[in-house]
Amino acid sequence: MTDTIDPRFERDLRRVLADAAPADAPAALRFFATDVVHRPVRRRLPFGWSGRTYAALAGGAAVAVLAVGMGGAIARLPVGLPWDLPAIGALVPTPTLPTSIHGVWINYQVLPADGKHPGLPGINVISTIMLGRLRAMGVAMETASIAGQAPDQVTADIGLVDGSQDQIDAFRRVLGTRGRLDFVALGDTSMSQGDSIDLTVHPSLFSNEAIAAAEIGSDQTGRRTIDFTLSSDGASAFATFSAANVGSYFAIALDGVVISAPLINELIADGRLQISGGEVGGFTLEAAQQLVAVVGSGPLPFPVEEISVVTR
Amino acid sequence: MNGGGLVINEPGVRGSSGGEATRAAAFARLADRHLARAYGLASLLLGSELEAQDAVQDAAVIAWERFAGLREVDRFDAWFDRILVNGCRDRLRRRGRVRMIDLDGAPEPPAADGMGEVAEREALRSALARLSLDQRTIVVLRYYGDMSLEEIADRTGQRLGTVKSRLHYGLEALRAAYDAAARLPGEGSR
Repeated sequence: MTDTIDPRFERDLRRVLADAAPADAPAALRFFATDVVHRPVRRRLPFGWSGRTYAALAGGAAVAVLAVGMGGAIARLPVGLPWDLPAIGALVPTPTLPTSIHGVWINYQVLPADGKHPGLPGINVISTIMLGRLRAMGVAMETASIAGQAPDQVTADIGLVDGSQDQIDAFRRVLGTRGRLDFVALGDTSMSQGDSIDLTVHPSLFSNEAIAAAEIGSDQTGRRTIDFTLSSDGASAFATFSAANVGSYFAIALDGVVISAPLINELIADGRLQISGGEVGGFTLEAAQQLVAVVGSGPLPFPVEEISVVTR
Repeated sequence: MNGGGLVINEPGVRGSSGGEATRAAAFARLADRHLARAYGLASLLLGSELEAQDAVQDAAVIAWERFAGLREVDRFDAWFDRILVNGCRDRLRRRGRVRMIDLDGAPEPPAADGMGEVAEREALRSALARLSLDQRTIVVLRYYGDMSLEEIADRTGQRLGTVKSRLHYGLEALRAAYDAAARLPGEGSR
């Protein structure tokens, strides 16, 4: 089967393809593709291997594993903890880290929700949201990527300059939290930051879709706050609610855990809410930044669970 | 030819900083020179510049890992493309559905050569998007990637006969659309 192709047709076909293709690679890609020579060669951690076995086989190169449970069993990590309550510190006991950390891979299992499996669309949405959260934390997009693997896993790959345990834990908190915010009427029940809230007992008035913006701010006494601006629908719903419930409590909960449960003093007409957290100085800067990063990109459509964390 | 101390193919040179540094410099230079072409290829195959960036990145990582095994440096571009095409095919398979290439976003070339030719190119754009994934991949590799049929078979893992057949039917469909546009009244004829 030979094709003697008409030269004019071929010329036009080539021209169409050449026009459709981008003229040049973006600068970030050009940097990355040539910079690979400086990165340690990546080895994928086989699922199910214990951290100790892997570290031994890697021959002590610039790879250390934050073992998820020592001795080989993959333990379930309590990700999605409420913000900052007492300093959480390292979420799991860690073996000795290498002297300088250039980056981290955080591997997640994506779990079903409401009887549905994530599938490729769910994985894609999760990847987009996680990238948005990293961006909100100040991570440059050339240094980070989120990749879906297998049918229901996601890996975050974050480059670091002199990374620290604290930085890595901040990423683990922000990426691992589902991020559903609920505004809940409590009536006479007073609650504290860190309490679990049962949404069947205390139904949600509205949640993430009513939030137009969340920013770090401060109140008159100088305490650090999170300032929410509600959407116009959310603002009018909240105006109605607050007018009818002066003297009652309401709570703002993150994934079912209270982060603030103030008393309603007055009608709030403009949809602007300020919460200061339970600590004396208000939220710590880290907690506030992490909360804003989580809320800014929306909740994950499916919960995720850490499988492993590998530094390089 | 030994160009200024760039010794690339010395597997015995390990841990010698001189050897590693020149190997790295050579790879970076070769990758940089080929990058625009590779990115264009991936964009056409995947139908998305964003995905193409990921695909080229992945290919660069793999290529660097395997660079020591590349015997002839002048084969770099073809060798890199092979890694890239395999990666693109995996991505397309994982997507699980045929993706239409958005060729409509391409800027219209100047109509200096007459109205009729513009219509024919427009028809080609639409027809390309309607080809099957395999046909479109082979057409792109041939007429954008400039690969021979043997090279295409090699890079895609298909048999030479399959490549020829898919190319034949793909070109047939494209030619039909092209000729139909040429015959439209008022569009000029040749």
